[in-house]
Amino acid sequence: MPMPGSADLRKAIQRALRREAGSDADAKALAAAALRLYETLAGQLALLIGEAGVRALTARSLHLVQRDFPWLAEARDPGPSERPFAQVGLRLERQEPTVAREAAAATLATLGGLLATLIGDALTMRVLRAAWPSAFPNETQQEARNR
Amino acid sequence: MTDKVPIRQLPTGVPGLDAVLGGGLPEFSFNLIAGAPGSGKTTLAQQIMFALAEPGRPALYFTVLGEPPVKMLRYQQQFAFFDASKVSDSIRFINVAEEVLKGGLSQILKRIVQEVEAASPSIVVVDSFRTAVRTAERRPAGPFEMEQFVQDLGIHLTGWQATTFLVGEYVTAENVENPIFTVADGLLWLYQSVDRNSVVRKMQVVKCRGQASIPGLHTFRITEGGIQVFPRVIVAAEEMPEPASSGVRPRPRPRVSTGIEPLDEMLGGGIPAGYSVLVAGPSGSGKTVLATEFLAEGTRRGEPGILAVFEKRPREYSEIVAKGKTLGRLVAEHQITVIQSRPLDLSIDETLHELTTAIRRHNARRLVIDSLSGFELALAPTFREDFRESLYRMVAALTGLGVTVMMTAELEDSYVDLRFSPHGTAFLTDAIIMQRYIELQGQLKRIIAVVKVRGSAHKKELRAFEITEDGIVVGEALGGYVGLLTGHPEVTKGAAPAAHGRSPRRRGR
Repeated sequence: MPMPGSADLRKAIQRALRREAGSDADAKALAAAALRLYETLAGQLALLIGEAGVRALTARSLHLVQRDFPWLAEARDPGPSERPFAQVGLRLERQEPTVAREAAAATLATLGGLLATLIGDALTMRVLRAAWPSAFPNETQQEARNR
Repeated sequence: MTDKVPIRQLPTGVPGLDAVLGGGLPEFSFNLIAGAPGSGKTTLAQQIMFALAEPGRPALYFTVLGEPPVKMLRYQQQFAFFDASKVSDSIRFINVAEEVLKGGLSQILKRIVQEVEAASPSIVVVDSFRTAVRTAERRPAGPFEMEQFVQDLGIHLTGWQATTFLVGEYVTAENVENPIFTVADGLLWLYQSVDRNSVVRKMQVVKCRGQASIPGLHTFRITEGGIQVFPRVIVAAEEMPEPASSGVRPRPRPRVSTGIEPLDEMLGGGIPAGYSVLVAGPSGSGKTVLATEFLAEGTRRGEPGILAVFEKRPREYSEIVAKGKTLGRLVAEHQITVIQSRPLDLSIDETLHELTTAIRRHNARRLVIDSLSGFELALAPTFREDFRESLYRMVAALTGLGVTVMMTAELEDSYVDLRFSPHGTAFLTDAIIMQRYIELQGQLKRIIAVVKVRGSAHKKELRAFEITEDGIVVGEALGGYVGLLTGHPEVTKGAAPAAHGRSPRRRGR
């Protein structure tokens, strides 16, 4: 399955957020859903590239996404004992739901895009699909049929 | 019936490695891949893992400290064997850096055991094992903790029916008392041999319990496809020439025509099939033309040929006319296959692999190596030092396939001694054809002679020859002269010099 473009990846993640938090979710619910999506992805990724690798990519993604959402800057440097995405959740909670949804999707999509530039589309898509099956329902079903 | 436990040999997916290991990778073996940084350890381990992993019996690849996993994945996927579709279902990469840093050897073992019991893998790789051990060793440890760890790891992984590779940066002969060297069933050592500006990759199977691996250093190359090993060819007893003292009378062999009838007569009826022939002569004397006619004659008789070029470019060869056809046309008609060398970093075994592959693919019966001098130059410097020994192995292996091998060798004309090859390799070949320039009656002439045909009578005469549009035309024997090879020929008293140059005795069928 080819890696979707940035816009399509954001849409796919928004789909997963809706599934996690519901269509009319407030910012708090969206932040919690984003955190869950991140944690699932981080768990998959840590197996592949280690905790340190996940931390580094997360920090870089947050740096990149600040251009569109400058208020995420404060979330960039979690403390050593803090989960890397914890601060992001707190920032998302303070936004309007629409903005929070867009920012969460953009952040996670940036992480996916960054991963693809480093380890390639094919491997990245395998990780994303395993972490977020609800974001890619058609492809996941197709793959299940192929097995 | 035998009580011996059968050991299944797994195909490694690394061309040439199964042969080196003695048939494949022993199932459930506990192996160490050792070598200096950059020697190809990770690539070898991953190539084997991608070949063997399957959804039912996945592979677990434990990355420790050292090369960051994200970079390893980035670079390793450039190889053709890296199949991203296998990752997660058939192959799981698991990073255990945290365990190494925080928990020491016991924590690493615990995590590996936990993952192995959960996944029941067929293949387990720990990369880099050396880093894991070195980091853990910095922590306070009880006596024999390292020995205990290696022992437990070996027992557990074998008990769970996993074939294991530990990857480690070890330098040759370093700390041979390291328990890992004792516990490991298989020990593969990878080297990068540096000689002047050339680097050659070599591999040695230091041990492989339960089966006979091929001893010695085997060259290998890393390309986009991954690793390819070129097993060091060991000459089998039946391929070695029969010693003269053995008293065994060799069976007469069928003869192979050179395509030049007078030369066949000089050879005693052609070249005995499966012989190696050296054509030695100075630059421009017609060695390549003779060799090309030899191949063209083969095609006329339905015997495909291989031309291994270490001299001119193939385009220059394609214009040579033999048997009324250009070599280019014979190549286009797939009757002759041209192999062009990759210059300056070849090993004999890689060359031999390429030649034997081509011979088998095309069912070739004739092979020309043009020339030995160019071949020697194409080799990496480290192999030039033992060129004679290597050439001996190569010639024996090629003729062992039943192929008749013709090799050209350039010699400077000398009128004070009689040599047939610049390498002292003449004794390796079964037959020698010599070409020389002589000055006769104020003209420069080419002469040809058969110096040796092992186990066969042959003519000893010197004959003039010319290279014409029809190819090589051999004249009559140059009777009536003495000292032709000294540069000062004289007419024998009372004898009339024989006609030479273009002669009525032309080749032709």
